[in-house]
Amino acid sequence: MVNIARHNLFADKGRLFISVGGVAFAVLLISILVGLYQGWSRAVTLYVHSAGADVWVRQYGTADMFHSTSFMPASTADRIRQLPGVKQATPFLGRTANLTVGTKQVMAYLVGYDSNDGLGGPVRMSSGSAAVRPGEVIVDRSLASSNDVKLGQTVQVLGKPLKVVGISDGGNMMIYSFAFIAREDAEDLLRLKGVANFYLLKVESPPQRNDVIQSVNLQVAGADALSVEDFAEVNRGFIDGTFLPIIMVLIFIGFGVGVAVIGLTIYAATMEKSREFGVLKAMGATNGMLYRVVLQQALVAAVLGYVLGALLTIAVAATAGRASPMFVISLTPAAMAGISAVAILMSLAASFVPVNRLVRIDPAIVFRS
Amino acid sequence: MKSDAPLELRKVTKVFGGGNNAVTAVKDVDLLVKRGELLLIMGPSGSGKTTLLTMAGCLLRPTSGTVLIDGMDTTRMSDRELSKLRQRSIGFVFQSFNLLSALTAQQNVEVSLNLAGRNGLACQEESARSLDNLGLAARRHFRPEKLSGGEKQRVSIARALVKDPDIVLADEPTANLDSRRGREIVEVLKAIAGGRGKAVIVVSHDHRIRELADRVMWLEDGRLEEMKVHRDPVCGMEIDPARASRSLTHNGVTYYFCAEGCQRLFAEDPNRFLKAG
Ligand SMILES: Nc1ncnc2c1ncn2[C@@H]1O[C@H](COP(=O)(O)OP(=O)(O)OP(=O)(O)O)[C@@H](O)[C@H]1O
Ligand SMILES: [Mg+2]
Repeated sequence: MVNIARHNLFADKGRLFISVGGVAFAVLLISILVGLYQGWSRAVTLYVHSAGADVWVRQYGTADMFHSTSFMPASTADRIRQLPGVKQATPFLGRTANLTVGTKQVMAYLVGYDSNDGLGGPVRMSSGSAAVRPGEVIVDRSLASSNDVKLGQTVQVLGKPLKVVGISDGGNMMIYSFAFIAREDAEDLLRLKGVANFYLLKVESPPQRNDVIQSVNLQVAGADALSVEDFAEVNRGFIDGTFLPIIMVLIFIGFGVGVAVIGLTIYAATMEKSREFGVLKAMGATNGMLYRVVLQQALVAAVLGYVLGALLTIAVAATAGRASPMFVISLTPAAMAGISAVAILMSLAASFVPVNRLVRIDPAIVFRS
Repeated sequence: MKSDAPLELRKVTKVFGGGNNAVTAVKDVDLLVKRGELLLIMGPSGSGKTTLLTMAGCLLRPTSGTVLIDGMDTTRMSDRELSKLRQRSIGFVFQSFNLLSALTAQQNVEVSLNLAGRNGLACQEESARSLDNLGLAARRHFRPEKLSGGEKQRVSIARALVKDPDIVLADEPTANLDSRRGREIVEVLKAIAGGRGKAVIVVSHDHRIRELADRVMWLEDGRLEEMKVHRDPVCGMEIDPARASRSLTHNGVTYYFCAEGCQRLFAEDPNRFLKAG
């Protein structure tokens, strides 16, 4: 069977290029946005997941790590430690603070951590040591690379000079990154002596986890325990709340651009060939057959545009990631599949008007010149 | 079961518009076209030739009257049924060729078979053969833009014929061709009618093809009649009304003249010539 759609599409290379380019651009835009969103979501939850705790305890009535300030006295930890099933309750001290690198101020999420506890440390080390002692600091690779910080260098943290002994990885949160100092230093610098922001719990055996959560919530006043998954979700919620609406608007615009570009090119192609469509009708083609031709043209343009857009996304993600660690673009296969569905949807939406014009083509025009 | 007259028109009338703007393009036309016959329809511009052909091709529904294809009344058929009918039974040839520009000659022909519900290698071979028969073997893989007018018209004839329709309708098939190519095209159509038993209608202004037609009809003001031979009433010469430079109307009848001299003589005393005739 002669594939009229394909021949029509490839006969006009300039127009094909515009429609494919338009879809590719829309796919690129949408993929980068989705990728950034997924990258952020992942980064935000990565630390919570790899901190090593089974249960996170926050002050009752507070929310996530970044937006609300949770304070609990040391006595809360004492109460928790007496509960059955609790193996370990480690204080977590952390908040944002400025680091001074040379003359530059860089924001970081400062965590006070004791490497002997094994809880709350860096996701993984890139170089140097994870055992941070008083007077030392571990900074994230993203901070190190964008500010040219090297092992052995001294940076000021809240007015105190600290020596960089480790470069960690996986703590990049776009706006800032995690930095780790000794718990003693944190108590001192963050003015958190005898208080903790969170408690990180280990349970004696995994099946006891829910009981531990329940007993903390019932028996320890002012404490609110969450499983690590729930606490990660709470933190991810902050990305959803702040960035998701903006991202959705931009994705919508990207979708609109894609629909407009394929729509206009397919519409122009259909109008230009309306006489030929009339000839096909005269020869006995039904409206359905002609719809298929137009839809196929739009679909092929969308698929080619998607492939080109996906390749561009990979190139842009790699280049942007290298240029600035701020861009953590991470795209899951499911997201890519979703975006391909969006591209298909674009072509369907774009065919709507041209397909409707086909119905109105009168085959009798073929005899008029 | 194939009927003897694949195409029949009964009292077919077409009125465009309504009220004061109504135009009766075709009026009460009765017509029977037989297998093996090449019918030439001639007539002045605007006389309704294209409208008539469009109705015969089931592309336009008559205001009143009936179009029968292979004896079947098309009046009550749905658009879908008419499409199906056209797929198999009617081949069209147009003045402006109307080939699909993105397809090669062979693909243009093949599409016609695809629409008739046939696909595959056999189709390609058949399309190729159909082009070969029209002397286009070397042009099969050319796109229309690379073909001459005559070649394009032969491709369009191949396209119309490949599905073996009973009826072939051609509107001014020679108008965009020089006289030699035009004549060749009509010869091809004539051979198709005679050799393959098709009913062929050609609409044309072109008098040079008259002698090739089995029958010539004249359409004027929407009315169809057998072509009358007009003679100059003065000198008796045969005159083609469409090309006559002189004419005048006497007692409601139009007379055509070979030249000004004959017309002047007639005007001086019409009765002298009419009595003699
Ligand atoms: N769709 C239409 N709407 C209104 N009027 C029409 C339409 N099609 C044709 N007509 C009118 O019907 C009459 C016959 O037109 P038609 O095209 O059939 O003539 P024709 O004999 O083919 O002329 P030509 O030799 O110039 O091609 C003309 O007056 C034309 O203006
Ligand atoms: Mg005409």
